[in-house]
Amino acid sequence: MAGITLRRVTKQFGDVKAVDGVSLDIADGEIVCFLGPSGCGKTTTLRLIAGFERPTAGEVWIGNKLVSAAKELVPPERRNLGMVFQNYAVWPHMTVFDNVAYPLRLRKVPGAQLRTKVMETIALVGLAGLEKRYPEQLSGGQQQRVALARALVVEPDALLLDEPLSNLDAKLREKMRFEIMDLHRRLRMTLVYVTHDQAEAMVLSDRVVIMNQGKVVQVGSPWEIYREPADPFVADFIGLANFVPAVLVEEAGGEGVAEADTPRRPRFRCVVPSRPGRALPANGILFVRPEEVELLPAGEAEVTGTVTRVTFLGARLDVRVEADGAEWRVEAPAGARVREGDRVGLVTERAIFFDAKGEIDETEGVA
Amino acid sequence: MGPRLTRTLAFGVAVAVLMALVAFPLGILFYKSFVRAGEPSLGNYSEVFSDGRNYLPFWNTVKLGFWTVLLAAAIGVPLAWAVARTDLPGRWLLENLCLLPYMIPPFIGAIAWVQLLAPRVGYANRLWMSLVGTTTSPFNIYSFGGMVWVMGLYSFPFVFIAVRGALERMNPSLEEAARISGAGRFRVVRDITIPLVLPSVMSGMMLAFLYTVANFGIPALIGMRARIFVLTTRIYSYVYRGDFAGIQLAAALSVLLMVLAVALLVLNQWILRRQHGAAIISGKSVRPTVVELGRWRYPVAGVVYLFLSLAIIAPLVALFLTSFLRAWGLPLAWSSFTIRNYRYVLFEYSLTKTAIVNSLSLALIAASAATALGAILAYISTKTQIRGRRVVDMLCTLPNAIPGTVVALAMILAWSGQFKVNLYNTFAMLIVAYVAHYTFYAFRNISASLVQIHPSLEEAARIAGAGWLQNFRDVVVPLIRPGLVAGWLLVFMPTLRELNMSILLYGPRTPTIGVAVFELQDAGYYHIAAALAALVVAVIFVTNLIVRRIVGGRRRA
Repeated sequence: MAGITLRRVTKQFGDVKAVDGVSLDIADGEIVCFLGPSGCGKTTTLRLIAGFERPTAGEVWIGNKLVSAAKELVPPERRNLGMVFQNYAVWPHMTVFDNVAYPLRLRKVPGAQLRTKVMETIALVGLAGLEKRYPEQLSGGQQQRVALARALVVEPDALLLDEPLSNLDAKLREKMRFEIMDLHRRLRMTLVYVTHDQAEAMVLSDRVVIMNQGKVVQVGSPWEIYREPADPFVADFIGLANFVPAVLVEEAGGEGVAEADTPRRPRFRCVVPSRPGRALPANGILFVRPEEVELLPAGEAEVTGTVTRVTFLGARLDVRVEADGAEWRVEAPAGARVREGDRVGLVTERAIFFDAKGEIDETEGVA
Repeated sequence: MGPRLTRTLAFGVAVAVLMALVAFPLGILFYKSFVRAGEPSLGNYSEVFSDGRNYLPFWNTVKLGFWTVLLAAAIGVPLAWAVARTDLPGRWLLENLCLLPYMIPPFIGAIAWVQLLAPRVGYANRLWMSLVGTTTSPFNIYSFGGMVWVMGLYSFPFVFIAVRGALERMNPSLEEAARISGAGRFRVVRDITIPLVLPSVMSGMMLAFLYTVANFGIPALIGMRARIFVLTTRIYSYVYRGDFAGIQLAAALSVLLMVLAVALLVLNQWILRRQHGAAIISGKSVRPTVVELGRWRYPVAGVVYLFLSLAIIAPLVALFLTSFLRAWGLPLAWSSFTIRNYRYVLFEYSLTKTAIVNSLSLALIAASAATALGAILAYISTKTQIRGRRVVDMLCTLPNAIPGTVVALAMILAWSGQFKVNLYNTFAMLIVAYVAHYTFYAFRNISASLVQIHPSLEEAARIAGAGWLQNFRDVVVPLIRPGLVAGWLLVFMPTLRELNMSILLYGPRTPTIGVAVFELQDAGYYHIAAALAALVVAVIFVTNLIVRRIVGGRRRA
């Protein structure tokens, strides 16, 4: 087993930089998810690690071996990796047994040993008894397990998964998520996982890598990504977000007070911490998670608004409030007594103040 | 009451026509092959299998099919791979060059190759003799090898299309999964790619075999010169002889040919069913893994384009050259060239003038009739639950799979007066045969369009108050218009230059273009035949361009 290191990896297709200067250290035994909208470069990054794409610039290291550079490319078959593809890619002309045995046959593993190992791996993914079946006789979920077994059978240095669950239905997807986690707990191998499903990334990862337009936008634990998004893109991409244009009205000792940029007074205001390494901007965007907003009876807060819609979501209520021309999304407890048309007050304890100008310039620079 | 009646009437007429055009003639053909002097007998068959003049053509047909298909695969598979999976320069051009022989009727291909490889006078032979300085010519087109060569070049697109499709549709992850499992490039080809495309290769070869077995033009123009007969040419010679015994033997040979063709078709279906097809076609991201040829890119391109220029372009150039010659065999000097042949063919010679008018009117009528018939039959097959609609399917498909020679003989036996209707030597005879043989193209295209119409669209029309006929006219027909137009053109184009059936069915006043080209070539008027053939090729190109416009990106095999 081994860690994986990317050093300023860039992949250009024609004029398009699919991956743009990505650097990352993936520790041995870590689960890292690449998460981002379609076309953000996450799958290309995975294929660069696998060796299916040659980087235009930069280097990929597996363990202490340089495997990819612009002039140097160890082919995929000599990287000792396992990979699971989105569309299973189980060979239709081979039985389950032959599919799983294929990587061992290529490595010239002798018969008895091969048989034991294959049966063991088939049992590990829960397919014992189906080894003589052909893929067309299996369900989608079972085919994906075959693909998993085939990737695991050689005990690879790292396992790469390219949106492995996106073709499965919602129930099965959730079940498989936990199965992959269990497998990881037992086998402790480096796992690189590409997905566009944030729930999947949140459940599985030690660290999440958020990508956008070929660049890594943020790397962090699921908690960090959710609570401390690096920019409005991440804040918007993960979970739900309220964005309010605002100005800084006070600043003292690493903290400030930001006030919504609305014509009417009193304005919505709240305390904003300065973020490490960045000064609080004078103008910016206030970002508040719906569950961070509290609804009070009208008059008990500086800002009041009108409830426009209440949606029952089971454990919680999704409440829309119109205040000073802006729509707020608020998550209220299921028992809260709010109805459409109610006047309510809005307060928040926690907000992040993004430098709107700076962030926009940055994204424009990429495009 | 009203709508039900029109519907029943439309269906009834269509099915009756289908019975008269297909089921009845083929039944009669089958029956006649087992009759001698009015008595049930196996005499025709025992004579077929005891007389070398009859069983040798059968053997030659199989032999020709076998070698042709090997050649077709040897050409088609590498080219399909090059187009689908490499970064060879000009792949668009390459693809279109490979599809070119698919458009050109084989008998014109045969004529074109005769210009190049006729002993002593063929352009290639003359070039060789002047280069080497000998008087013996190296190539002789009039041989079994010549037949295989030309037939192979005009049937390889079947293999090419099938294999290219399979290679393009194959999910690239299947091969990548093998790479990451530890297999090198060549190992992946051996363990994954080849096993997965093999059924398509086989299927393409089956279709090429079927095409070869059914072909008349090449064995007639090349083989008969060398006294090599195959089933189609032997049947032709019996019908041409015109006596009763000959017709009976021809019937028996036709049944054998039909059995051979149907056996190939069934085998093909079986191969395709065994294919793990559903699993190959992927849902997403079908960007086939392209092999970068690197420094081999231009050398390989050179070989491929040289081959295609010699195999596909050169014969067409030869055909056009000859069409401008004052006489076949003249040296290629300015003084030898003229446009007189074209003027002669188009405005002066009554045979070709009549043939052009005939073929145009036949194609117009046959295409319209086949489209109307095909539309109703396609509706029955896809949109109703009527019992026996599988039989309709089969009766539409079968005559297209059966060699034209067999269909033509069946028409002669059924509609030459023995059953009170005599169409022999008439225009109607040709139309009947064309419609029987080609309605399949209209049927298939219109069925494909109909399947895409959701039943709710028709139900909405009915709820809104439209009767069956109104619904058909106002909702169904406008929705399937592209299918109708494509179906019409796909019948129009082959009927315009049909030869296999026409050669057996034409009368003194009903020569067709195909017949005229054939007869002129057979009689040795090579330069006149070339001019008419060149015109046909030009018309084919233009109509193909139009069809592509209409059919758009849709691909058909």
